Amino acid sequence: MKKTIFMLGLAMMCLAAAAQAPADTNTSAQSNTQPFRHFTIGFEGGLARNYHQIDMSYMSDMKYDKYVDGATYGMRLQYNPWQWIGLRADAVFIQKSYHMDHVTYLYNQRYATQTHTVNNYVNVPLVLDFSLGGKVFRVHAFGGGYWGYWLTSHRSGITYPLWGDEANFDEDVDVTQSRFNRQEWGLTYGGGLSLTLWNRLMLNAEARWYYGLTDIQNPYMRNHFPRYNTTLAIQGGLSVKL
Amino acid sequence: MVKKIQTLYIFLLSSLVVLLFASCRKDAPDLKNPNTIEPQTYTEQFQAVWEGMNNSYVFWDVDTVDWEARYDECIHIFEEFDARGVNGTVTNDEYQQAWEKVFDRLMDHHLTAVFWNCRNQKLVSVHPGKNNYEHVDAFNAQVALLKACPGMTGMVMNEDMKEGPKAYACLLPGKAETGKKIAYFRFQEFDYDESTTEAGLAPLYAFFGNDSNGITDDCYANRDDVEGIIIDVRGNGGGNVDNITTYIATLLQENTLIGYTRVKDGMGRLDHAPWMNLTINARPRQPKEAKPVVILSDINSVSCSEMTTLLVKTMPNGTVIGERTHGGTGALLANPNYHKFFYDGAFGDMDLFNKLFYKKDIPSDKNFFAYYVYTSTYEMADTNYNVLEGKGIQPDIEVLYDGDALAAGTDTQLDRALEFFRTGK
Repeated sequence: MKKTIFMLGLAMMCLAAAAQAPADTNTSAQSNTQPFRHFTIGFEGGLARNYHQIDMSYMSDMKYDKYVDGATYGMRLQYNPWQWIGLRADAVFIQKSYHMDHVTYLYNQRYATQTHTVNNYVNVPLVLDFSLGGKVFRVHAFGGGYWGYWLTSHRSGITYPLWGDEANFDEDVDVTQSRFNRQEWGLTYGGGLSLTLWNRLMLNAEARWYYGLTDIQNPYMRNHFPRYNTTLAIQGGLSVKL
Repeated sequence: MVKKIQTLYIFLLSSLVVLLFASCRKDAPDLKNPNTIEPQTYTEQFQAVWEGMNNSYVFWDVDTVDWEARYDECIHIFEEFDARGVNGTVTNDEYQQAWEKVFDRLMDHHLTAVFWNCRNQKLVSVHPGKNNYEHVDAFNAQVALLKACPGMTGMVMNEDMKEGPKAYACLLPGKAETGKKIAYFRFQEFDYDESTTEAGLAPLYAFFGNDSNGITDDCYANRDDVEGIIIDVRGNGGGNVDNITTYIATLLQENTLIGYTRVKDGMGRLDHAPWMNLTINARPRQPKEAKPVVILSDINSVSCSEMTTLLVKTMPNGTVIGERTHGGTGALLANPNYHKFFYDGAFGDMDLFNKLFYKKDIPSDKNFFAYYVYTSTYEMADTNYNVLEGKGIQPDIEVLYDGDALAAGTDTQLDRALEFFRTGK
């Protein structure tokens, strides 16, 4: 997946370089009539694909290796002192979900439990946005940090009660428990494209990684097993240049 | 052009910073499966058991023992044992005391741990909940007491069973004005399964309206001459939980939620799967009317007998008389091979498990410091999510054990149950 994103980014860079010459011409032609707009504000939304990372040690048949898709949406605000660089802040709702499968065999019997957990966060990334291209079409690459706050959690799945066969569960999880670390800090980086129409409206599409650097649980015990979120957001949006 | 290069340069620099930060995640500890470790020293044995409990014990959310402090308090004891050298002596008393200190005051009242000292080829065992047992043998003379009960009729059903007095039933006198009876049934333990002889099971089935092929109408709760039921689980150390659904559930008129259970689902002490309903289903043919059911429990009623007590306490027509129960409510899978089912509960060495439960000899070539920890797989709570481990179930009517009266031939707790039927309170 990372390779795909890298190739996509590279392709966008090339496209932007190719578009640069005529766009620059337009820019110089229009610069006398259109003022440079420093602020951009808009909405964005898309897919959030989360990879929950935990080393399960000897519990090797308890697997968290599947990514889980969720949603992300929110708003963005950007200030560009110059066209090629800007400071961008977003406030987005994002789902960082994960899935656990545990299949084990005991005395020739197969037992399988699973837990599907949907965690809802608000993320506030702050990035430096670099762009290449013309007045209309630009390629962006950005990087920075983010702060996240864990809002709610819900889990569903299958387990074995004391009596009977496997049973389903579906419940909210109390994220205010002291063991949970509701604040998440991390890095975010990615790239995308923007298309400016009528010098005012901007359509954009981008892919970005949120790479959590804080454990989602507090280290409440010795031999604590840290858990981290890594989330890929693929999103599009509409902004207005002010 | 210069601007482009500038942009590219800054972006690459930022990417480098990102990559540097990416290594900031902490690594997980390197733990080994507590079922496969073969400790070569006292210290390794302690560390393996401590870590096994750290990750596998199901009650860390409610247990007040500071397990990290316990490590710091105890590690030096085992290090000192090792410092005596391979030819040094660690007496059994020292070894026992060291392990008792490790497990002191843990709330799991099933918890029993056995440790193999390969230097002197001896075992020690610890059971932190043992101090909660009292007058444990007091009711062994129950049959004799009941036979002396005025007006008693019925059957003694234990006599055909292979291993001593495990079950007993009879009819005791009820209200004088009705002339009806109280059906009394005593479970000495709950271990009735295929290994129990059919001859022994037949009266048991008859009493509760089952037979080996299904359900009969001949449940004592449906007999016209019976006005109430007493289930006696005093001194009952528990056993097979299926006995509840096989026998006691025949007294239910509807499915009954008695509480919740949960297991662990991860390495963290507080990684628990959800609470799941602990519902006892009524049998296909329920009793025609809800006759009063009393259960006699005491401080020695453990595990399955506590679940039975909780069931009766939850029934609208049920009453608990006697003492607070033992507080060993967490059901468990004793075989350490089941540890990987939920990665909680019992863990350790199969030979020690076989020694503890099946009296098998430990292989003479066992040349490492083996261990086996028998601890609950399930955490159990009542319908208000109160975990009852280490606390037990409070009776509705408390009647404390009276050893002197019992020795003189009076069972004050049973008498109180009969009074309850006569007076309705």
